[in-house]
Amino acid sequence: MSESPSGVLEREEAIEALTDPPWTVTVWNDPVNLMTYVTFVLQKVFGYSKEKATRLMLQVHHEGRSVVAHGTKDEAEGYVSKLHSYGLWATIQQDG
Amino acid sequence: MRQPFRRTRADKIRNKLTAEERAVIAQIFSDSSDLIMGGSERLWRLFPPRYNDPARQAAYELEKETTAEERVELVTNFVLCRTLLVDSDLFDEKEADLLLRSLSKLRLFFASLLEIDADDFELPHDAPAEVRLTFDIYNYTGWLLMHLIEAMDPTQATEQ
Repeated sequence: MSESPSGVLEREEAIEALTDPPWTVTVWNDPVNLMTYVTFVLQKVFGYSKEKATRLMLQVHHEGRSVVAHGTKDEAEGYVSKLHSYGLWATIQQDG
Repeated sequence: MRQPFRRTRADKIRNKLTAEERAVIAQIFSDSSDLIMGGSERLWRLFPPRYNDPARQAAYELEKETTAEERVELVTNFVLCRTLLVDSDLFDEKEADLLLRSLSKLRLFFASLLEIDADDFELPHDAPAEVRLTFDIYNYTGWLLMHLIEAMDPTQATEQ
């Protein structure tokens, strides 16, 4: 029995998602956003605990950036859109 | 210390701004909207790049909605916030979230105008009055933002 074209496409996409190096979301330091605000947004967007969000915020503040999430390209793009909507400076890149 | 926003027992946010403050904020949102729609070269921070890789970013910019559309969306949110802040005494979570995002964008906008590039930024002593006013507004939006975050935190005490 042959697979339908849409089935083949879905399977190819699934394989691509599994074999593709993950994408990372980086938040960059800026001199404007308040530290409490960055912590609050990280909690809100990713559901992180206050402790984890504070640790990531401090990494951004002291080291200039922090990788705050990993995922597929779609997930990473979704996260960056949300972070941008809150005014955080965030970018995505593919590992590897 | 006076608090402009206060969490209620019903998990809403009470707007405690005075009528005078509401009028000032309405004017700030209105003036800023005009400047943003007028298009300034210093708006990049409101619409930052999405990809680290310049080639990917360039490809993305070819497909994404135009900057003009992004500006319209931002200004539409500003109009909604202005109405909320002036006319509403109580915000639900969704409204508070819109307010939070818009106040943050407003603050970034003023930071761009002031060219703030360091945590310890200070105005020069001889800064013109207009620049001083912009800096005061920048600080005021920061103050509002700080109190809104506090009020949105469910662990914070509610109003009596």
